Amino acid sequence: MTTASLGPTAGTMHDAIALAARIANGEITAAQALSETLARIEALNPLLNAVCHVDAALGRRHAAAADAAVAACRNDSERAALHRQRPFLGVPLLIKDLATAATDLPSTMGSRYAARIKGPLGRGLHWAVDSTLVTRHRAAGFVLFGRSTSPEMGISPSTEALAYGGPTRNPHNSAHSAGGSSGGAASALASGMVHIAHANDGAGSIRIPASCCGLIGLKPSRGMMPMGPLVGESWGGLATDHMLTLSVRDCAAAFVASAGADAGAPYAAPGTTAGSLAAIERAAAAPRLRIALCDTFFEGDAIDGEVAAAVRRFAQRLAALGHHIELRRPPLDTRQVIEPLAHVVACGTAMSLNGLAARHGPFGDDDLEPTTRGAYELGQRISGAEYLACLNQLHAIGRTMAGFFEASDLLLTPVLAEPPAMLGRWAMHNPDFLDYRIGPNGLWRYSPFAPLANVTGGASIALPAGRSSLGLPIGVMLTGQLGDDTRLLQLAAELEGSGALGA
Amino acid sequence: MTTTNLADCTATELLALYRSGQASPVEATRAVLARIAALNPALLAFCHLDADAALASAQASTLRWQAARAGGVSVGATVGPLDGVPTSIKDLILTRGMPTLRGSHTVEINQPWDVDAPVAARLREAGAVLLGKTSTPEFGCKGETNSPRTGITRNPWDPSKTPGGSSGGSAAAVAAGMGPLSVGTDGAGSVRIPASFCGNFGLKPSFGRVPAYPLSPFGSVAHLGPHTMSVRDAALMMNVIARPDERDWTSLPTDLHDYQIGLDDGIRGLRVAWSPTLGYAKNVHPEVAAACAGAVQKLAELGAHVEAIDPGFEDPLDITTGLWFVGAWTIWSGLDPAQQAVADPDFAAEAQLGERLSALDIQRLHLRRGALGSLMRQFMQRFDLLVTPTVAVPAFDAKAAGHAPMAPEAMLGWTPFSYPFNLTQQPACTIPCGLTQAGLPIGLQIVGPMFGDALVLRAARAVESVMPIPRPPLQRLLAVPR
Repeated sequence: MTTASLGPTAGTMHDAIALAARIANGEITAAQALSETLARIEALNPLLNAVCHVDAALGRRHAAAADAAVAACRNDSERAALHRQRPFLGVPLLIKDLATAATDLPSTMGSRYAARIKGPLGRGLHWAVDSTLVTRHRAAGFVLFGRSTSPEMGISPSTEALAYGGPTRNPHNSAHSAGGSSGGAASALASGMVHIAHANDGAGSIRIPASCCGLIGLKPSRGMMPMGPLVGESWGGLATDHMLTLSVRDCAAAFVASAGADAGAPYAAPGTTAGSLAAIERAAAAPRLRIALCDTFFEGDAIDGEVAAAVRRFAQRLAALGHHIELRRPPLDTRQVIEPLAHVVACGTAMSLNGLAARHGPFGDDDLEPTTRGAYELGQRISGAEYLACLNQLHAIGRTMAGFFEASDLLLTPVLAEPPAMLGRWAMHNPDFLDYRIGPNGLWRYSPFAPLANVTGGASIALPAGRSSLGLPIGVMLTGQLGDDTRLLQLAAELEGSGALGA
Repeated sequence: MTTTNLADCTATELLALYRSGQASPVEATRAVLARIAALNPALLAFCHLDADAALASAQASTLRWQAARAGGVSVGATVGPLDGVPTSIKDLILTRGMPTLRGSHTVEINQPWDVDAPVAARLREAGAVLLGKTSTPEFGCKGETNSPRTGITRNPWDPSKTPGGSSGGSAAAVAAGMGPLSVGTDGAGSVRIPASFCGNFGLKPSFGRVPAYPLSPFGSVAHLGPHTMSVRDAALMMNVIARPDERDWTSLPTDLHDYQIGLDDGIRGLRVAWSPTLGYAKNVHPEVAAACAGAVQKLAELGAHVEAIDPGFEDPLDITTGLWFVGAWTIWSGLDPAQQAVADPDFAAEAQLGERLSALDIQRLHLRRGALGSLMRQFMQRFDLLVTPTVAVPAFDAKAAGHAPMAPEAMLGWTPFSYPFNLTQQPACTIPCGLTQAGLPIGLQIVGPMFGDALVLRAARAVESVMPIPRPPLQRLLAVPR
């Protein structure tokens, strides 16, 4: 069952930028790159169940367009210009199966309910317009061709949606979770099916799967990534899109290619992408940072010993690079963060399902997984006043953390309090959504750290830091404030350059 | 072998197929691993799986069977009595090469894990293919299976229900075709409760018959025993694991009995006491009562002399829970505050109740336990067997750890038939005797005289011969719409 031999090839050798460069200079065609990806999916997906929708014909059309652009170049300088303009020229891209409107890719939201909808392109929701994000992906040269799996409505840290006939598996050990909610993206990338994968994160959903599969995952600052034109914000501002990547430069290049508020966005972006790529080129020359290390729960309770050891080793690597490490915990109670967040997520679930029901008819008893139904019912019960009170509680945490960050530039924690769980532990059987998230042995014991950045809106990046004794990846997380995206990318690049990243 | 999935075969059936060359241990192990891959995410029967080691072990077994067949089959020298049978071990039992984490975040995973408990050693020597560790509540502390470390283990008959506990992972694994043999432990019913809830055969042997190492912190109520799909499989497994081990100072001398011999001798003429409430159970579910009464009728039809009679002891719930809570307190007091903070609150509640007991209280409980044991030894002079329901109720809803602080009633009030025989150390088994209208298994408990393990197996086999052990409707779990 272990598939460690399929493990990822971290670093820049096989990253998306390297692939785009080979396509731009004519070493291989985008069509060939797509064929290789499709062949790997065909070979590995029956085991891993990471990809839920493949439209090979669509991919071939986009790949042919990329190849035509290369063919139209008359010399090396034009080819180099093409690669600058389209840094991901011809790179096959999976979009996560959790909305992210794309005219040519329907989405089931990981739900049997949405999968009942039949449209011209297959099962699931269809869109007449692209999201701004997808428009920017296309402009960056990506070849969109399919969707990666998500738990139903994206509300689990493990991707085990019944809609896909079985769980999504971790390529490092198929009995374990690939993480969630972007578990399909992580499993596909870590197994080598693709070179980069779209993901999104409302309570850790980029960083948890990155951690479980030994990948890099940046959750950009709130307001950095375009949400339009169909919505202004998601889960009350908690959620944002980005990518899972094998290299820091892929992460940075995708950030530069897609970040920046879009027309009519409700908030201004808190930072700029200008200088991000230059910053990672001169990472070692950057100012030394004050980094707060938290290797326990915020309350001080011990986390899993192997995970604590991994984050302490990682802190030593940072110290060896001249950064200042200080043991310092945010003055928070984990449930103070998670409880209002869980209520907002429940409201988001209810809103999405009500929207679906209005257009496509009501859902029946067996259409939703028990935890999703629990989230829906909770969301239906929460009044507008209660919802806004939750937002106020969340924003107060932002104020608290602003004080914390006066004495530290960044916060270093693990991503999860434990190594990746076995499949089944976070399957959505529990009909009590609050118990699932914040019960005595709820999700907060497993994932106490990641939601904080969703709450404050700060940038946060997951980086591979080691392996458990069972051979499963352990990830750590560096978290900053709003607009710290480039600072995180720069530090990640320094770590990568010094050989400090890796499972 | 045409239509039957090897994962649904008993150990006895698998061994016959290996012997005739119709199937190999590698094929059976692959089938079981495929079943685990398909169903473990829904059931969490296993908390640790080592597929690579299992396949390597199956490969070696396959070669042994090939050699045995080449040498003229049934040559005992080359293959072991369980050679190539996929087998699992509860995560409270040390197993070389696998972590034993006891459902707890308090156990350090970075240890050598180089010790086999006696049962693990015996199973390995017998050629069993060890698949992994089955889920347990923290330290085996309750009659359901949920833990901070592993999550919620579920019942293959209905995943919204608990498989029972504390050997719920073993019971769910056997019922779901994730290896036909599993070893569980039973300190107050922890083999029999989950075997009953999952429709398996489960045996708590006489104390000391199956040795333990290290000894349970819960003391001389803690037994080890088989979970199987058939009585014959349990006899086969008992032949392997019922051997003395000097690391257990309470282990009994070698039992020369071959538990398979006489298994089919029936129960004609045996004196059977039938006690539907043990004289004190007030909460027996009507469907459980009816199914067990029906099974007792079958015993009479098979020629047993059945007499409805209660043994005449008072409910020893406070003896069991008192001694248990002291054990919990013993574990708890060895944990540092950081470990205590990550323990299951249900377990913490047990420990806190244990802290309240004085040495005098505990000695009084021991004396009352002795009186109960004496009463039952005398009662079993008049009867060969005592029969009761196994559990008062069918499987109830599964829930997460931390929802049921383990006060005596909450902990064991619903299983009044199981724990007395941990106190008395008598052999006791559960055998399926019907399903509720909702389709959940019901178990009949058969209690034997001390050291009468073979008699208990023989009586269970008689019941099985007229009431075949049912299999859960796995197709519901396997056939998820795509």
